[in-house]
Amino acid sequence: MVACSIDEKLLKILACPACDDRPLVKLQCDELVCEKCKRHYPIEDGVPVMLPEKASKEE
Amino acid sequence: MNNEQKAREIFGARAAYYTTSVSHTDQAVLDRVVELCKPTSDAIALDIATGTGHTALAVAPRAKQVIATDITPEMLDQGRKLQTEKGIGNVQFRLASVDDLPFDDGSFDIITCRRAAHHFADIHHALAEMQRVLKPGGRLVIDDRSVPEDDFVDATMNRLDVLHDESHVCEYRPSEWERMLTEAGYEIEVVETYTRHRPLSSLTDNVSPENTARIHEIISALDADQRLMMNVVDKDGVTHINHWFVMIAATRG
Repeated sequence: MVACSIDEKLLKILACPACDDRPLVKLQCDELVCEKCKRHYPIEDGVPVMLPEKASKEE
Repeated sequence: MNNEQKAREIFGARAAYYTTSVSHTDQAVLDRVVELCKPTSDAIALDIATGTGHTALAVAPRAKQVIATDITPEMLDQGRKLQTEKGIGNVQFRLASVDDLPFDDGSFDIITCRRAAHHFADIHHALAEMQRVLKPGGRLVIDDRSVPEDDFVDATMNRLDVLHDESHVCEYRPSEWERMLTEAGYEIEVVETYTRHRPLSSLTDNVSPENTARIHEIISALDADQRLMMNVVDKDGVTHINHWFVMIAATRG
């Protein structure tokens, strides 16, 4: 599982780079999700892609 | 194309080269960076613009965890290969930009940033972002290309480096670093400078024929005094030139 490679402690400091107040993102399935702006950041080969332009967004 | 896109394009193509690059694996420099970080076994460190991860992998054995970020996926792929080769398990790679660091405030004990700040489009914003994610009292160690406190050398070196690498923004003088860091609220502990005398090919390798020709034109146009200032010397028929560097340790005030 890709998601298992994300260390839980390190996940706790991972925040949304697109939101000014940097809310923490949450691991959902194999993506990191910002609950505020609804961006989904992919995890590619175990590397979280924390770039807003690479994120998908819920409508 | 903005600067970040330019950097991604250039460094994506050069990723494999950087894992063996002489200047980027300079062990004495890496050792000094680690020393200035003062890592402890419980430290969480961030290495910004990690490239192929040399600095992150040097800090890792003396820290609890290192997160290594870059905007170029190809660089991180090389970094992860190096990590596997070295058998280091506590470095995690993230694709992220210094402009918008994807971390909570006060997350890190240490931030390192080597040979990258001269690419940052907005250095003031970058320094503020780094300060935001540092813990109070956390340490920032920057190692970067620099220029001496001289208008001619400053302008010429920056011009050469833009031709060498179009994502180059500015290499700053030590005094500029001191001012920028102080204005950003850091307390400066150490500012050290050093030079390396490198073949001119260090500026022309992987560079377009047009820009290579312009680099040679600039070098040819230097008069004797200017050659002395830039330390342009022919060694066994190979033109060498100075590269200036600065290393800084500061704490979040």
